Amino acid sequence: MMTLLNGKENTSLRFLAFDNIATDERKKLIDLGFVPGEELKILRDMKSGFITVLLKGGKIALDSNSASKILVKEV
Amino acid sequence: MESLKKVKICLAGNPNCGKSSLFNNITGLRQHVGNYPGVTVEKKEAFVTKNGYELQIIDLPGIYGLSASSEDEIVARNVLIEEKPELVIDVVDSSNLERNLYLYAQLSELKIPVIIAMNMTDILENKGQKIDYKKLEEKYNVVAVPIVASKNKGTEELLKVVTDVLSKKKTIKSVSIDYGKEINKEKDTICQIISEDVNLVLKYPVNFLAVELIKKESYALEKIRKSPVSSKIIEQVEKSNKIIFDLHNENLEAVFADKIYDWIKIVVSDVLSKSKSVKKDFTEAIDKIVLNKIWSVPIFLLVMYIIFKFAFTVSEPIVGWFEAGIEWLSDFATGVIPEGIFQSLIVDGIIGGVGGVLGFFPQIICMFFAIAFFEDTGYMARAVFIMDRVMRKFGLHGKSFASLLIATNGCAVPAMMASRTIDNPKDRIITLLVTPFMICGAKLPIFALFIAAFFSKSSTQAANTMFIFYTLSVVIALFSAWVFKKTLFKGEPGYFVMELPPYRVPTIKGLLLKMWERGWMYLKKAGTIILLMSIIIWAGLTFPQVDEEKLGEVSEEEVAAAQMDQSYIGKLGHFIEPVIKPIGFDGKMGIALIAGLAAKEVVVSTLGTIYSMGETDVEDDEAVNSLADKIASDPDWSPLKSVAFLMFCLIYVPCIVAIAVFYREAGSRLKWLIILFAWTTVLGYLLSFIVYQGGRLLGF
Repeated sequence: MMTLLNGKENTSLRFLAFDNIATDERKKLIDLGFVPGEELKILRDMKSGFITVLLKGGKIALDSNSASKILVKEV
Repeated sequence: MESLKKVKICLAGNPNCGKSSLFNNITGLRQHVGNYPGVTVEKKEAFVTKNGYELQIIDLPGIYGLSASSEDEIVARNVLIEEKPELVIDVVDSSNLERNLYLYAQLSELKIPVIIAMNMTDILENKGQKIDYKKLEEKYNVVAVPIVASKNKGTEELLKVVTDVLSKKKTIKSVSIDYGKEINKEKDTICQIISEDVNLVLKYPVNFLAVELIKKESYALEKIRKSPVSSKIIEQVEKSNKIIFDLHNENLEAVFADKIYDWIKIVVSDVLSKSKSVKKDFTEAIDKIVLNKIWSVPIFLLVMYIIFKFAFTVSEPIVGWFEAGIEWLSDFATGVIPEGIFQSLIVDGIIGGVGGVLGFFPQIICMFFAIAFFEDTGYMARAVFIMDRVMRKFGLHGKSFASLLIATNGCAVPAMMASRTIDNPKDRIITLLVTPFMICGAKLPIFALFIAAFFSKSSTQAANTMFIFYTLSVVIALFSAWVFKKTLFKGEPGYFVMELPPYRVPTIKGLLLKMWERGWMYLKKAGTIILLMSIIIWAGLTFPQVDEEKLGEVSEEEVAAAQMDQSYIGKLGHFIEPVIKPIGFDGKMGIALIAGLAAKEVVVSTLGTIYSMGETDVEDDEAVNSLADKIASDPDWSPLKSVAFLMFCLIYVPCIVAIAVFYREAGSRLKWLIILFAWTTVLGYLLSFIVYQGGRLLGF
């Protein structure tokens, strides 16, 4: 298990849970498709400066703080 | 004649799904459309007549689901739940069905007929995909009509289905999400208790309310607070919540979302046929460059520079034609209207004032065109994301930048309203406080005027100067945000999560429409508030009139100077001069700044009226025709004074409409208004003082 912040570009991950996240932020992420078990792909990782993921057919951009609250594991 | 039946219809959908485009197609209006946060932040409505119905069409802010957190999302949810529309059109991006159907599933719980406007079907076809609409309706009760909102395709077919549903020619069977045996049981128990209160049943969709209660959504708990059965409901909610949590060992919002996405997966896999050939993802290829760690900010700055370069280069010859046209009109009016007060009102007051502002119309629309281009390609959404990283260093985030971008793109008023998308109230107030620093469409003519007067040996030099001032406005906004964050609003900035739209090739029609829509706002302002202010300024400069006989044998220029001295405005100018002298300004500059509080363009129109009335010692040169030429020839001005003046214009108190909107958006709290006045005035004065006095010391 790791956070999305540590994910590498072009790897497929499975979303597990949120860690220490505010209610509003959690709701927004759930609405966007961050539900446990969901598969996502890292398009741009923190090394490239911006985190973007492919989730449910759409490209989601996140700040590093939000990414650090998303727990994932490699598929 | 048969009377029309009134029906309320809401347009709902995810952000960037094309709601506003469809709204414009249905209503014939020209509401601003865009693909980054903040473009639609409040409901917009219009009435259309169709097949015997008067349709009240309400365009809602974009939402991903009904669990709203920011103010714009709350507006959308409240309209859907409280205002009980007869029908909802859910605009769905067909090229991204999975995410978009999530909102549809939640809307269907409201027990209001929902029709899907399946938008962007052209993109879907390009991807080699196809939706089986028949199966979607027959097997899953989902009624959907394919449309391409950007090309106004399918609108009539959609409205036909809408009126068929309203007239009961077509029925929509309800969609109900299967949450599983246990959850359904708990939900039904709560529904039963809610049903004991008729008021609740009449006011709210019971199923939806029960689901929201189980999730312990605060707004749902608020709805039942005054019900006679509230304690019974809450008792059951606690029990149900615990049972479901124990069963799934997960946050309940996630449990419900998971069930909805399970339903969506089944539907999508059944009705969407995918092409076997996978086309290259150009969006990702472009993003690899645009969102590069090193190049992203330079590319962003380059884009902004291109916008200014385009605006100044393309508009250069057109500005000349405009100036010649205004000059001709002025000469024509002087020729046909007998000399006297009325001629002065028309020529000096109206043509001099309004004409001064209209002279910059070509630059304004060229800039709007260039911004619309980058907006429609999808780049501006990336710019918001790129700037998030920069904004965070100053305690803000990307959505604040979206507000600043909207201000640059037209006006501080919609920009302040766009701050409603920011969830964190502290971040929102800071954004409201710094938005007025941006060079909006109203401030642009002031900059264009002085750049034309002192810094425009070529269009490149003009664009460079404009770019420097634009960058300066961002720096001042960031510096102010940093000061506010360190003093009044300590704490971490809120989160930033957004969906990035795919890159698209903009259509010429779309760009021209956007350019005209924003340009028209500028023209309307010229015909209303600027016209009125020009007349007021003219009257203030004309009365009381100087007695020419008492002056004796003097030149026309001396009469004009005496008139200026003796007029109401002249006296006001003399009164404020001691205060503004240290920053290099004289009375007429002070008057222009005060008049600019009505609308920033009025700074230009006021100077236009003053110079048109011939008060100044402009050189007697035939080339001195335009307002910029007159200012450049006036010894009261210098390049240094113009920079100090522009610096003050950049920062000082926003116009009266922006102040009113600021007050409302900041929760009608006087405290923030005082801070806005104090900060903008003190900072504006201080920086202008440093520029002017520092410049003098350096020998400029």
